[in-house]
Amino acid sequence: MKCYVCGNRLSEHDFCTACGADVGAYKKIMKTSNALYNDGLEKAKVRDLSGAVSSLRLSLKYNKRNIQARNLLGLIYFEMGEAVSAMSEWVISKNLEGTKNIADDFITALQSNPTQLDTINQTIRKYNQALNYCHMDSQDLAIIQLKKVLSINQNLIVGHQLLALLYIAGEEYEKARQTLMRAIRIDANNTTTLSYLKEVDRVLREREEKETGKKKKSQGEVYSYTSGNETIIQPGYAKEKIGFSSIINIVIGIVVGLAICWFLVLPARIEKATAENDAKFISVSEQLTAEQADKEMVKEQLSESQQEVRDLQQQIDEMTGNAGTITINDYLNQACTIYLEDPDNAEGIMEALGNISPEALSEVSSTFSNLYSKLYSAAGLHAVKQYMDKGRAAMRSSEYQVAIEQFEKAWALDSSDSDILMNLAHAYRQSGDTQKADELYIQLMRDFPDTQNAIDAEGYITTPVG
Amino acid sequence: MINFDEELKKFHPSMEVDEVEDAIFDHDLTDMTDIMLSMMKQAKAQQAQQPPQPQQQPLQPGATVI
Repeated sequence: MKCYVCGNRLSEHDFCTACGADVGAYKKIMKTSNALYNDGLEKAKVRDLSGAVSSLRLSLKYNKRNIQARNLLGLIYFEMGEAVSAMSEWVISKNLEGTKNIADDFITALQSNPTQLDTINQTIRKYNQALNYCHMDSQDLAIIQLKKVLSINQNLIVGHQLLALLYIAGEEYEKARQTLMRAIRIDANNTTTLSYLKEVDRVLREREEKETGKKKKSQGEVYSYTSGNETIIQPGYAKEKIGFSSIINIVIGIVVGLAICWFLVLPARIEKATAENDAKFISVSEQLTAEQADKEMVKEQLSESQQEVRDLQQQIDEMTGNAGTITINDYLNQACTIYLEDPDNAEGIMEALGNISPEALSEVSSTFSNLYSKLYSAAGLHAVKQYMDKGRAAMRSSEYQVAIEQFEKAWALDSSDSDILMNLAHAYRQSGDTQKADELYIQLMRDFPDTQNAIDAEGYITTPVG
Repeated sequence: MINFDEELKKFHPSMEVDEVEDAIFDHDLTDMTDIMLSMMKQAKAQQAQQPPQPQQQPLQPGATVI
């Protein structure tokens, strides 16, 4: 706080320490101004804009240089839709305090947006036009114009108030009430708004009471009539029929409930169930695919195993077949065993060796072949001798078939001995088969031409040689 | 009961943006301090116009006080 005479900063004393001027009253004025500013600020915080304007204007009446109060007043005017008043306050504030003044920012913000400024100007013009319509009794036009104004500038308190007044004049109290409530949301404690609202509420309450009274009266009506000497008074209201109408109401309720279930609840349930089923289906499909893949793999393995089994079986068959190596070895072992047990059993040895086919001998090892040859040569001559002896004995006992058999065996073992062939031919001749005997005689003459047997054979031939 | 015409009189046309200058000029900026200073000046001026008052004689010792 500065002295109004010399501008020196004042102390706690009631006089200026620089010039000695009495500043007691001045200090009180300044304090009052500040207190009113605080009051205005508090009111503005609770949206009591009208009260704040009163306090701030009073504050400025005490101290026109209260810059904060003037700036706040401008801001409140702007909030109430009165941009021109706001602008004038800020301009004055800026003139009084040129530096570090927030009013400068407000003015700059407003002037830097020409569109907003133009909109504000149009709003003001339309409001003035609406007011003009009111004075000319064109209230409908005024309402239309005010609606336009309020759609652009919703905070114009006077606009709301004027519109509410027009609604009240047209007895549209509900609309008036709505408009006033909107105004109250902007300025909570505006005297004009509150007075209009009070009037509107009063009228609405009266109307409601009137309607309620009518209903009560209609409910409270009584009927009276005379029956003989007695006057009967009966209540006017009819007893509610609760029978059939109740059933209808219940049925309607059930139908509505079912419809809600059908149209709201059921689709949601179905959708949920479908989603769950889809998820299950996908899961099962994945499992099935995996199992099918496993099955294919198992099949493939089985096929491979079966093929292996077949191959092995084939190998086993080859190894254990009649012409197989094992069988040949067995026969050779058998022959060896017989030879070791009884070297004179040449027939047994030859019988065992006879089971080994000549084709098989071409595929055996050299060891096998050597052993076979030694056994064959060791037992062969002996066996031939035995067969020959048996054959001769049979011939002597006239058992020619046996003799043929024995000589055949001997001839099979040793085809280099012409005696065997000669005896075989004799056996056939004695048995009566001269044709076969002749063939053998001829064979003997051909194979052993310079022998005694060949010469003798020529004499035994019954059929002349052609 | 609201009288529409009476209430309508309370509504005044708003100033347009072009009229801001006029509004500022018409603004009454006189505050309480100005009034106080003015009153003090007037008081001083009146004091200057009035003739000086004769100074009172100091009481003598032994004088009777009524």
